[in-house]
Amino acid sequence: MRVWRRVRRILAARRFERELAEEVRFHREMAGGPAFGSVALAMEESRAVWRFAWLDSLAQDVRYALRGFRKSPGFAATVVLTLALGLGTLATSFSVFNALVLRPFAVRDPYSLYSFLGWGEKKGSFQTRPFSWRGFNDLRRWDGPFSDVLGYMQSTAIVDGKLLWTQSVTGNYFNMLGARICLGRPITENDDGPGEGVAVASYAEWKNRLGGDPAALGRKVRLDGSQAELVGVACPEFNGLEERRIDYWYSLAVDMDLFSGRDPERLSVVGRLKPGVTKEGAEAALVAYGRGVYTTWRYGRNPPASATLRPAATVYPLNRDSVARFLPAFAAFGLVLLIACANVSNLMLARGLARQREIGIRISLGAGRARVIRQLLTEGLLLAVPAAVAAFLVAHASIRAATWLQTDVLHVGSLWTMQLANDAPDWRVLVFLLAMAGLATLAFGLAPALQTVRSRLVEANRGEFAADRRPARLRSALVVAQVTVCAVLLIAAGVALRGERRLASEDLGFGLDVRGVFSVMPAVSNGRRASRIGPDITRLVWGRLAALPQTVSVAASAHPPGAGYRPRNWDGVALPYNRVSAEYFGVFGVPIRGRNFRNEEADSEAPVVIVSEAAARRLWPRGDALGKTLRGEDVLPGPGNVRMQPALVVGVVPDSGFLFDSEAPDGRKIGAAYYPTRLQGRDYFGYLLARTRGDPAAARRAIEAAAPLSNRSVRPLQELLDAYLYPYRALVAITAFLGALALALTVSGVFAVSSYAVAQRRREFGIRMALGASEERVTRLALGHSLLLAAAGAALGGAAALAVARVAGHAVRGIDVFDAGGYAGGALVVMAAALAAAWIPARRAARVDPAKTLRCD
Amino acid sequence: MNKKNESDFLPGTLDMLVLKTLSRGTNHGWGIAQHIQTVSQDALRIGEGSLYPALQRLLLDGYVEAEWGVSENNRRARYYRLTAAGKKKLADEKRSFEFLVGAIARVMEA
Repeated sequence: MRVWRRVRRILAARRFERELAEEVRFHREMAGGPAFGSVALAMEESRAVWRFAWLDSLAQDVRYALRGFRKSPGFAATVVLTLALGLGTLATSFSVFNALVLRPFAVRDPYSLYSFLGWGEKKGSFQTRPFSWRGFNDLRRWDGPFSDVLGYMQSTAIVDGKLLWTQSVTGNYFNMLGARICLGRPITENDDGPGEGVAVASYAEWKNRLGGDPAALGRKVRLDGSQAELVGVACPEFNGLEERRIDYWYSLAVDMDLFSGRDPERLSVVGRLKPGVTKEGAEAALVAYGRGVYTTWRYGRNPPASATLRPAATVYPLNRDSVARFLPAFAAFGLVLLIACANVSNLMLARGLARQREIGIRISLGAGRARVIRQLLTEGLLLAVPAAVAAFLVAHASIRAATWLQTDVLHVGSLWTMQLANDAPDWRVLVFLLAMAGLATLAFGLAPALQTVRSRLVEANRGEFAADRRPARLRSALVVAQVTVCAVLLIAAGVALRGERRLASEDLGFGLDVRGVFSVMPAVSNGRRASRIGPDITRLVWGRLAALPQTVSVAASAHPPGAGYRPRNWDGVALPYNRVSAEYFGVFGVPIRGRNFRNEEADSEAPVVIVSEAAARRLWPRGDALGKTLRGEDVLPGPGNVRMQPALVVGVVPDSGFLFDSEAPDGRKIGAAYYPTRLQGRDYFGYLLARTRGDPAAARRAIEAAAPLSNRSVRPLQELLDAYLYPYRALVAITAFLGALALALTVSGVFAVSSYAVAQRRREFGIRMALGASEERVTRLALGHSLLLAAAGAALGGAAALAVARVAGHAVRGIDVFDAGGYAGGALVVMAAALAAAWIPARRAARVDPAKTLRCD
Repeated sequence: MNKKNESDFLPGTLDMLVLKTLSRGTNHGWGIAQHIQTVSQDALRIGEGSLYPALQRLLLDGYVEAEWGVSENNRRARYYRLTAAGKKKLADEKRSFEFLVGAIARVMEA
């Protein structure tokens, strides 16, 4: 009641004011002349009754702070800018986390959606196995824990050189998800089954490629050999249930043989749990269901013991794993904020000291210390809020810039670019930012505030506080912390850069040049979709490629290089393997110790094998691999493992990270095995590799013209190499960006602190010079302190980086996290930068005119 | 929140006196001051500096209500009226005041 009356009073302030004035005037007139007391005071006291005291003093603090900022706009701008940079960097990483983990997809009741990952023979394990059309319908009809189940197939298509993400979906997809369609109609269950396919475009796709034209409906969309009629456009907020933005949804009809008698297993499923059903309950029910169908499904040798569901409301469910995955990124980005905060802290400290006289006066006039601290914190918050808003813009811009860099500048293997579905920062990011800004202010504004009010009254009033060493100590500690953090980031950048350089050059080995090598998937188009039929096509395409004037040599392999084939079990050692033709090593110019496959061995798939050096070392630690026999089994899905014929090792080839997928998680090389292959056999699904000469673009055109292929299957190996190196390049880019930002902030911090220190010691320097100290000596004196701090910070940073490498280094494949060059480089750069930043103030110290300084005081 | 009562007498008694005055009927600020002064035979003189903050306080607490009306000399004036809560408050105040005064009297006469 009281609060409400107050609020009403404040809202109608002018009326209240008028009425009060009239009332007092009436009183005056009745009294006939001046009564006791002043009218203004009476009014003021009457008014005060209604106010919130805390609001009043807050308003007072705010007014006071704003007046202070107006007096020193440089200070306010620097703090806001510094905080905005630090917060914006952190918010960028949080935006990605938000898009992947926090923000649910724009569908109805997203938290009841679960992906069914598969059944497993043991608790906690599962085998991914998609559903067939028949199996999917059985699952849908089952009156189990799901109210409905949808199925989809993921695929890609290249249109105008741009990679599109497409999905073939069951007819209930849009209806079950409750995803809105803004134009036309969704795909419905009438579209299930063979026949002419229909498609729904994403809003972005419709706007950009189809020109936002409503007449686009009914048009045929031709993608990758298949075509479908465009019947609808999804609303902008819906981009599918994937990490990446889906560009087109198709009806299942566009997949050639899903409905054929073979009943292929291609559908991944997402179910909506009935109300009240828990994830665990649904999993138990699915195990029972799996026991009923596993025999017909040939799912495994044993009935399933477990079934695994994963929440499908977000790209990754929010749990310990997803947080742990993002923690390193948060930490790295957060470190930049830490440096920014140290800068702000230093600025506030310096300002606090400059204002010590003023604060001293306030305290001696009776202001409580708590009130003074509150006032200083209010100032901090007033700076933090605009900083948070600016940081929001920074995050927005940096995500835009990153996307633009990836797609328009780098053109990295288009498959790998991170086109997140919903990456724009939203209110969650803003809330996060405000919270972080508040936290940062508290953490880094409180210390200077406490420092400031601690000073003794008398000295403060006189403006003498040189005797108090504590602020100086705090400032030094802040600089050391900054240099430390900066060193860690720079070391990370150095290590990443050197690792990437090494991978890109040395690790490919033996002067390997993949430029001009193309990988071709032999295929013909049967009108509806590219189809690949066995050895005849492969031979045909091989012949045509070999006949091209640009071609140097042609080889065949079951997997393309760099594709990362699955490890198989060889004599108890997990080892990836490939099947290649005899020409394979020749195409890449790989030197072979021992001998290559003979053509007749390839044609008969003879029991011979070539292993890489690392594989040889692992399989036969003692003695030479040549002449040994390799036994192994191929672990296939379905019942039983296929035993491979024991094979004679005839050759050993060098290791290469790219060609032979050979890095273990701990950075050790795994190696690989190569079996000979022939281009015959019922199910030859392999790749042809052609080395060409001359202009790569011309060679590509020639290959595309020569082979009756769908254009997407011709890929320069350089693209695959780029894709292989992409994560490392991204790591280099991110760490370099963070390192540069940290360096800039640190340099400004060191500069500010050493300037301040020099200004404080002006008098001392003056005396020293008057007593005959040389300029050089004074410079060294002024520089010495900064050098000490920088060295301490760099050493601490090196130690911290070592500790981090020890703990988290195993997560980074293929990079030597203890690379001495990277450490030395990072530490040297930060020290040099700190020295350079301290140089200018030091020179200023040396130019002090002793006579002037001494007269000054 | 409640500023110090700036009257010359016992703290808190001004509110009680105002409430008591209003219990005789609605009145405006000048009338309240006059009434208290007259009845106390000029012993208690109340200035605007104390009266209006006190009235605002009582308004805020909901013990009185205000309404604009016309004064005896045909001027617009704000009339205050006791609310039910005000009546209860007056009774409470009166009881504790009498208790206090009685106690003080006994101490002084002992």
